[in-house]
Amino acid sequence: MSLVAVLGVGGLGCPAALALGRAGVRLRLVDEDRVERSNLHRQGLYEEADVGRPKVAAAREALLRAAPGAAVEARQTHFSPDTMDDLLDGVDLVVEGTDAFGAKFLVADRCAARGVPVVHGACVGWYGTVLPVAPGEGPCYRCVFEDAPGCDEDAGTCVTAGVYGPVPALVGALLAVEALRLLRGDHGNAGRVLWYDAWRQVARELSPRRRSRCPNHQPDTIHPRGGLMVPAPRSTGGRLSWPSR
Amino acid sequence: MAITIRLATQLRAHVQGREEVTAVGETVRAVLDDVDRQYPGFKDQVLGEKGVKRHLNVFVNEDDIRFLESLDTALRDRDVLTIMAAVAGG
Ligand SMILES: [Zn+2]
Repeated sequence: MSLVAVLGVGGLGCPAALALGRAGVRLRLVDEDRVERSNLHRQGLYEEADVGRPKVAAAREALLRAAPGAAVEARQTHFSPDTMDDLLDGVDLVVEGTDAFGAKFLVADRCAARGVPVVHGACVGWYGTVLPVAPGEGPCYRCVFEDAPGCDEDAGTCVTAGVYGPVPALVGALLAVEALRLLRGDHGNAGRVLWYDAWRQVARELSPRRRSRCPNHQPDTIHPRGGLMVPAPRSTGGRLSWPSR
Repeated sequence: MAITIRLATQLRAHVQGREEVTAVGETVRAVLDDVDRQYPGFKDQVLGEKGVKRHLNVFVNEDDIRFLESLDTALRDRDVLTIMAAVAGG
């Protein structure tokens, strides 16, 4: 049974974890935050009584109620270069729904280095994006965005721009869809950005490409963020295989 | 030669809150210039010294202009330019 790390158990991570848990996937929930009242409109695993509790503990209990017998690990920790390798240990796929750019790039870089597929999600206002990444083929998150916005640049986060509750529920479910596809070995959507605009009710697909100078695809180089780059270890002939667990 | 430009949320404040604007121009650069004429200061939000800012992505229809002719990418009537920004949140 596959092990999926859900990094960030917020508006995106809650619906994604619920769908994956019910699909029989083993889960590792990672988030350092505690439930706040302002989370409740969009983070569907939590209720009023959970305010103040660690998100991962409350989410684990909710998931076990929804899917008795599910295998759910809870890790209350932050994402840093020091913790990431431990968090990704033994993981078959990552669902990344964090709310900080630094974490997004860190996850992208480490997943590329370790050859772990990842589905990135983000949600602001009325729209959200989904980017499934299969290591060893197509673009990664850093190919698309290159770097986090500078502090002088207007960056969109749900803290600064807000997010409408149903939108992350939709986008989080899409993260689970793409995760299940990648776990099945179906890479048809890998490297494609789905941009969903709930206000206009339109979804568009964008097709970024792998950037030749992206540090995540340079064999045998030391990664600028401190991780040793390993060239797509599980890729053979453009086809990926996952270790069976 | 009307081009629709769909904007990342963060850029909308610079076009009076609009989600999309229309402009004319034969290339991506010319279209951004035209938007800047309509909404002065817009271009500075999108372009830096080395072209498109690193946390932004410009697509012509489905394709990233970095893999076309960048800002010189030729446009056709009714092409859609999407300016996508890295966002974090959920
Ligand atoms: Zn890359």
